[in-house]
Amino acid sequence: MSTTQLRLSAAQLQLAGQQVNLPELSLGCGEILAVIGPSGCGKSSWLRWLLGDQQSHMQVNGRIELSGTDISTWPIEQRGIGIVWQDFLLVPHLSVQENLRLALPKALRSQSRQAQQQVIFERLQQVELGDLAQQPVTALSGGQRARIALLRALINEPRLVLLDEPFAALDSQLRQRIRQWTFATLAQTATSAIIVSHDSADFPAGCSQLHWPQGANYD
Amino acid sequence: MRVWLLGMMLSVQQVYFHAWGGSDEVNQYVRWAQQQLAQQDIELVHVKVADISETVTLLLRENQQQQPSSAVDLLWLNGENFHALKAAGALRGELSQAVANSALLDPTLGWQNDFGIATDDYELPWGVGQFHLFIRNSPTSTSMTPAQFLTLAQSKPGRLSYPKPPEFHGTTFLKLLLLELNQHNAALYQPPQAQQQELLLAPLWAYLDQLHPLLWRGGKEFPVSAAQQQQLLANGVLDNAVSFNPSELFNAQRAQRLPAGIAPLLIGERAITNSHYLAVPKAAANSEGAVKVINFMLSEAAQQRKQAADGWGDTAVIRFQQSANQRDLFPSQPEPHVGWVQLLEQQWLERYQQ
Amino acid sequence: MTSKLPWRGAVALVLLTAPWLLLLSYGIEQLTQQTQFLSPWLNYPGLAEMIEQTVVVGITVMLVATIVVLSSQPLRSSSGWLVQVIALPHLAFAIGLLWLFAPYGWLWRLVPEAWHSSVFDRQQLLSFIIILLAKEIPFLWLMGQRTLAQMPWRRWLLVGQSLGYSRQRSWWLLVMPELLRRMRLPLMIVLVYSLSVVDVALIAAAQTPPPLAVQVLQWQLDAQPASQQFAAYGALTLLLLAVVAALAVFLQERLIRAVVLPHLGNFALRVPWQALVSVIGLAAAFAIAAQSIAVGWFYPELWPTSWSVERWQQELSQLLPLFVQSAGIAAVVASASLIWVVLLLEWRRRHGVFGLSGWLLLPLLVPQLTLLLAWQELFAAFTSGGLPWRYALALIMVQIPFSAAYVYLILAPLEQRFEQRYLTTMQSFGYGFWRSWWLTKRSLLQQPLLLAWVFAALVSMAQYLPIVLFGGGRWLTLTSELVAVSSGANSQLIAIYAVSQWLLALLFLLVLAWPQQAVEGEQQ
Repeated sequence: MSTTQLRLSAAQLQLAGQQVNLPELSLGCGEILAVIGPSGCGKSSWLRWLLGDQQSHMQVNGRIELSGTDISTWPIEQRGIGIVWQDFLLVPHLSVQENLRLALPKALRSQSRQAQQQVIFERLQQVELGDLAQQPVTALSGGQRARIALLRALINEPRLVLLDEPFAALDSQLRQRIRQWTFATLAQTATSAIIVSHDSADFPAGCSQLHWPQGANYD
Repeated sequence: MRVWLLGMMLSVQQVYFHAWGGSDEVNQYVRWAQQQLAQQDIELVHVKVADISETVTLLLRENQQQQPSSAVDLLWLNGENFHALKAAGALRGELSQAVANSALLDPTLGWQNDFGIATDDYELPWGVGQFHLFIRNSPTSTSMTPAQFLTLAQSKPGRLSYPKPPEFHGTTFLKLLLLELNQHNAALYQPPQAQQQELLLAPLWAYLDQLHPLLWRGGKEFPVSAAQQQQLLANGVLDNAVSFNPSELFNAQRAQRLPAGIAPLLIGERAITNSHYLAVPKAAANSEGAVKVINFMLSEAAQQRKQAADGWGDTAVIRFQQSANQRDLFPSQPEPHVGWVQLLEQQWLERYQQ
Repeated sequence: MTSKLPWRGAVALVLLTAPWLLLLSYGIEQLTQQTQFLSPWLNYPGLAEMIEQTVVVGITVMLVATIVVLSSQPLRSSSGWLVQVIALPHLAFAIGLLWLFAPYGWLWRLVPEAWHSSVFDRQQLLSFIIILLAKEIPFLWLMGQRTLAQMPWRRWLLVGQSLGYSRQRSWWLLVMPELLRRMRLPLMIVLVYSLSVVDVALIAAAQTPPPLAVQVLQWQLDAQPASQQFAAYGALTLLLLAVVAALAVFLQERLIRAVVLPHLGNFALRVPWQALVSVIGLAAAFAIAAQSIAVGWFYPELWPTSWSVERWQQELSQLLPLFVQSAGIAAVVASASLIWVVLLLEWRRRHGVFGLSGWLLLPLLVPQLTLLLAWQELFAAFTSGGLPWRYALALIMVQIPFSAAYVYLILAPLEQRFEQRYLTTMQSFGYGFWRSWWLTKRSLLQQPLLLAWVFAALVSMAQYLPIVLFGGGRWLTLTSELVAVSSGANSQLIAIYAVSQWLLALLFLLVLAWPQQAVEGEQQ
């Protein structure tokens, strides 16, 4: 758990007349970085920059190094970074199983449908959601959606997964359970993760934390 | 696509023939010609247009841009459209040298002038038209003076009309009245002179001022074309129509497009006679093919078939070997000088479209 | 779509602007050539009345259509039947209605003489307006339904009701102002169509003098230099009227919002519009179908002398290749338009391009003949005496702007609301951009994409002038043949081609029955 998985140079974010200076950051394999700060100050945009999603309203100077390679200019699909959105964004007209099938890693996509189904079913079983496979995602409860969304990101075997306020849409009771489940699952798969939240209760004990710096006007 | 593939396989040469597509009889005749020409390895493609001016506009624009090669090989036209193309130098000349059958043409039919402009071998006649009316429950005579026509209009108010000038049937109706009301004054066959204009046109406007209130929609609205007027006649809206084809009424009644009880009628004793023509654009891609088509169209077989009563029924322009095949025409009335046409159209619009 | 977009952007910009630069150069050429024709043009008999008629038609159609469309029930009910009325080609629809309802027409023969009236007669301004309304209102309904589907109007009604307003009042006060705002473009398009339509105007509108658009075409087809110049002035006037029309839609919207809506209270139009419009549409189609097999049908007979399909059989060998060719051209044009608009929309997302609506909708706001003649120069050298595929390419290229405009109109509002993070998510799984697009956006927007494709195909199959000016006779369609035979007197033959054209339109509608994947929730 010690090799460095992600290394970020010091970076400058410019958005909406604000400039945010971020320090140099690094993250080991299987480690979790918690980013905390109030809503609406650029955390989510920064996550999307990490993901490789160009956004016309924000500019970032900085370097991203993943597993020792500079990926700053790579397109999203080559980075191997997964994401779980606050609103999960499961593809609404598909079933749970079909949503997961879309996320299978490249090696599995050429396999037979049966082999794929086998993998998906096993993964669902591991997290005790096997009976949901055929359900349309619109029929899922909030907690179920949250878990399927994480599972979908993880089934792709990313080198890093980004979680953007992943528990914000859940009520407080459920929140606690899903939180535990999420960190357990991340630990189980030894996936590095960055989790962004405005609520420090969302972070597991002992993870490294970054308090999002105050922006400065630069106009 | 089908045409093209077939052409590639058999090395048949296509001739793109732009021609008005509004008449079933003409279209059927062109289909017959297509079959005949296929034996000469010519594929005649009938490009049907609603108005040949569409093609003429295209050709003039091509000509203006000096396009080396045109999409049009052959077209069917007369009158103003010919004048425009000839003036622009957009037509192939010396056609009769290339078309052997032009020797068969009957020189007495007056086709050497097309609406008052010399054809100068830039087009060859295809058929002859004679202007006349169709009339429902007609009086016994086959011709009428303008005065009698006015009386007829009084007896059936709102039931008669004519196509709105400058549509050429409508303009022809005006020309006819102008000639009749002025007793075929010789000045009408000369370019209009300022001092005569008013004198000769006055009886026409006075006549129309009397006639119009008796017409369909009180003379405030007119059919847009001869074809449309025929539809109005068929639907029972009107009791008359106009035509340039002496066989058209017979054909329409046989095909049950017009009811029985309608007969042809001349205004005056003679019918304004003019020809319709075939011409080849100067830049035609397949000029030689087009010339072969014209040659076929002027053959005895093609002209006879065209004139046949059970087909198009369009009057032949050639002299047949056996004179029995020659058809009687209405007595023919020469056109007034072309200079009068613009006056008629312009002043008609000024008087009745304000 | 990678980050390297500049050259693609440049290509898109050239493709968007070139047609208009050509128009501009053509316009300048036409206007500066011979100014001595300006004064004769201004004195052309009936010019004022032509413009007046055109304006009256435009304003009436806009006002009545707005009132009927926004205040009637079909706006809030299902849309299956609407598309079928819209699919009926304009010309066939007009011919059918006149043959049914005009004096001496089929239904006119049925009613007692005391009821005879010439309110709906041929070549009459009012009939023209009625036909345009009957044809355009279903289109606006459809656009209205699609617009409403993007608004949480049910919630707004609940809010209104919770504040103590009636449901109907809440509809007027809360939903309508926003709906009106979002309906601007469809209204402008209907208005400009009413100003510039020629084929329907030729049989339905008064002709002494005719509406301006008809006269412009007649001038254009008259080879004399003066007439050509008149046509250029006329086309420019139509363009000007189109600009005024756009302003009129704004003005109407402000008036309705400020003056009308607050006073409507519980008012609701309770006319069975749905039934009325479907009956009229079906009746027109039925009347045409009957005429296509009728032999010898003269006033005052209620039925023809005989029914016969013989003429159909004779014409079949002509009809079939035309049918295939029309379907093929329309399918290619529709597909190309769809791809083009999708590319542009993704380009806009990425780079925030402004004014895309303007460029794409312009072809609907400019008189078509003027535009085509301007473009013709570009293509003439390319097609000149060439092989048929060159004509096909030119034909398809010039049709794309007209079809693409409708694709944009239908697709853009929904695309704008689309959650693009679906694509980002798919990309994070390792799919390329367009693969991700296909996996999510295509399936989530399937219905609007199909509808846009069908509309594009319907627009393409109804085009006449592009076939004449760019097809070089190598490519003919049912519509070009219909217009050609319509210039004749053979009503049975006209009916046969009109019915064939309608059948082709129905065939395209079948595409909408494509298995639909349920899309629920989450998209808000």
